[in-house]
Amino acid sequence: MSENNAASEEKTFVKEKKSLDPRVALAIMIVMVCCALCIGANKAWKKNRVSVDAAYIAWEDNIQQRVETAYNLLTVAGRYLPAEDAQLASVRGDLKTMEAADMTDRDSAGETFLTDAQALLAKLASNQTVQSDSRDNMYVTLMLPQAVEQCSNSAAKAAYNAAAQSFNDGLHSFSGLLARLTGIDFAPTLTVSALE
Amino acid sequence: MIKRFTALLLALLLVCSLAFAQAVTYPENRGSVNDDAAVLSDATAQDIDLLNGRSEVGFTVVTRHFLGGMDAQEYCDGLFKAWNLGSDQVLLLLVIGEERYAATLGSTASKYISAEQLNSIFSSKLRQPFIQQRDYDGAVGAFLLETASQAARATGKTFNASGLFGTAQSAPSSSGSSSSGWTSFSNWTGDLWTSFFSDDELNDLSGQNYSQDYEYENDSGFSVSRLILILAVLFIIMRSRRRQGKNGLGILGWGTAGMAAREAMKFTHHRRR
Repeated sequence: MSENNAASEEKTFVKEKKSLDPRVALAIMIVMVCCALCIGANKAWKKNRVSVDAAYIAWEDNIQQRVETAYNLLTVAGRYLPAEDAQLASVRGDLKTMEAADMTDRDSAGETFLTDAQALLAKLASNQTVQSDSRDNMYVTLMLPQAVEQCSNSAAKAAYNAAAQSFNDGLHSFSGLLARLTGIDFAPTLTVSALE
Repeated sequence: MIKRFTALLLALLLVCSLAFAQAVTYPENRGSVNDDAAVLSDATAQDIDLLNGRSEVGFTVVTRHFLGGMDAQEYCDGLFKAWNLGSDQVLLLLVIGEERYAATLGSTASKYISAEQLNSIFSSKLRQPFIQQRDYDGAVGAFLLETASQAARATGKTFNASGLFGTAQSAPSSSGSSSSGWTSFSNWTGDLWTSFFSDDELNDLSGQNYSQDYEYENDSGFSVSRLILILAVLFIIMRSRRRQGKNGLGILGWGTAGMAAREAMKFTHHRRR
């Protein structure tokens, strides 16, 4: 009889050990739901970021075009102007910043480059030594101005800004807040000058 | 499931495109002449094709106005790989606006032409017409002919340059075995005497284009100064032998006499033309 009692007590003990406090279960459930929400928001906003990144690539291509044009312009200008020439130094400075890491700095240097390049081209075009050299005169009056004109197109920048703005607006929503908690950042927007 | 797969694919494409955003884009290969800078004449383009049929190595010539800050050699190497050129190929790149040039050789071609030889060909044949005279046809012609000659010498085979890049058209009957013998001899004497007469010859040739210079020096060219030097050496040999009480010319004398005879033959050939 006493053996039967001992066995039933042991079973009860085992049953009590397996059961979980409902408050703990609720907490775990809430945590899991929160995690699911955050993971879901993160995944969704990462997908939304794809369109911003695609627009960024187009902008990057445009900056790269400006970098290449700057190199080509400096090559020709270096044959006629001294290294300390102010306009030459300006374009060289723009080039250095356009190759730097910060996106906003690169963008503003890209904008400055367009005006600096035109000033340098005008100076070279009025140089008599350049005028007497048929090849370099062709570069200065035809090829390089065309290249500057082509890369001055601001459509890529406008498209990027539109995509970034739309993305950033969305990040103010509840799911956006959760996404920001999981490491999704606002996309940087580029300043648009009055000329554009 | 399909949506997930599409999203994953898009993300993958984006990562790939970001990774290659800064990668160089090379133009499409349009054959042995890719004259993007439009500086080569049609005749030169045709001669490059003809040369490829005669030479031990194949040539591809690329001209560009600018490289946008990229190193010429790096670009040339990249182009060679991107176009998947064969091991016996030589790729010559001329960057007109930057006044730079580079060449990349396939593994087989580099066995025939060493880096030192290539640099020597650059400085002796290409640099002056390319940078100073801006005679791009002449520069390409002279470089390719010298490189093809070097490859032929390395393989012990003959190379017929007649009619290419402004060189003289050789007579059909004499373009056989004798011409190969002469070519190697001419090149040997050319190498031997160039250092002595380089300045004189440059002065003599002022005003002529570079393709003619090549013909003058390597194929059937005649040099008065060279002939005088050979005759002087022959005279010294004869006098020295006479003092020793020996008759005849001796091996050295006959060799020098042969060189003098060759120079005299060149003279008559030159006059006839």
